Amino acid sequence: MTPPADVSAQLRKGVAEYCILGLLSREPMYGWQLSETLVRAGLIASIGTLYPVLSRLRERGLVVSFEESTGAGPVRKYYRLTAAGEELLADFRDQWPTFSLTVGALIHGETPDDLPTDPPLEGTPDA
Amino acid sequence: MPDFSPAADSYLDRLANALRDVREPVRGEIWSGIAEELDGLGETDARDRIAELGDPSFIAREARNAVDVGTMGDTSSSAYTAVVARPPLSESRGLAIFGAIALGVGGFVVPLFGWVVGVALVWTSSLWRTREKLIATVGPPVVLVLAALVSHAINGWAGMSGTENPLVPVISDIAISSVVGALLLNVIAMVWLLVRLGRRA
Repeated sequence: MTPPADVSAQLRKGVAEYCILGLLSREPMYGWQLSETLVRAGLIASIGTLYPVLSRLRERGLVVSFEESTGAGPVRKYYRLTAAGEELLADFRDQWPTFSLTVGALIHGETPDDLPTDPPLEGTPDA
Repeated sequence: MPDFSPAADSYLDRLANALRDVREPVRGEIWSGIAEELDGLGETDARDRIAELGDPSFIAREARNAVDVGTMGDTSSSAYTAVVARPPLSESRGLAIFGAIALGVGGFVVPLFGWVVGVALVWTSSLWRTREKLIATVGPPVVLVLAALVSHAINGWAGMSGTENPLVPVISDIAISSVVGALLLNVIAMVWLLVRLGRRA
């Protein structure tokens, strides 16, 4: 099997959707706002990457779009989370600490026996 | 009513062209999202924002890479849908046909200039492939120059041998033949382009 040419691209692809859900959990945002934030964070290469992801999220019922006038500016299309999107984001937030801890341990050569079996989740009293 | 500066207008045209291979509704959403961002900006602000957005072909390539196989949902409309639906001038069949005709017979109407206009229009149109544009516009001059060079070489060789051969053309013959040949080859190029365009339709 050929390893991926760009590891970071593969990683970004896996988490970009959840990062968008995370951003939208704070407030509805329009395309350029999302794109600017994600490009600056290095999670997408350009606005061209954003819209296919937004389309998939909308297709799955995780986000919805609506149009709103911005004062004297143009009418913009905003995106916001649906209840299903909030639920999926909550699941991801629960799983991410365990997942990243496990991957972190494995890539540093630790054996599965060294891994914590039930790592505390972020935000819990034991964390 | 959208209000685009000349820089924004030109950028959006190039973007629409670059996004041709991206499926709907993603194509329309990218275009509308960017149009939203450029709407109402002055020329300087629009140029700054365009610099941040990057090259349209890069945006299109990223979009193609990110689009998954499958049906995309929601085709909700936006204020920019009507503008998205309007194809750029470079995709206009009228422009393509006019360009081909100017290439073929423009030289008869306004010598040389008519042909130059035809070349410019053919290259502006995106309805022909680069190879076709090259053959139709560069091909005739190249054939003519080669023919003239061969005739001239034969003429020179005949002169050196000191023999008069009525079948060997003199310079004036070559010049007249070149003009007639150029006009004829351009007409052939025009017919060829139009036939290919017709078949593609």
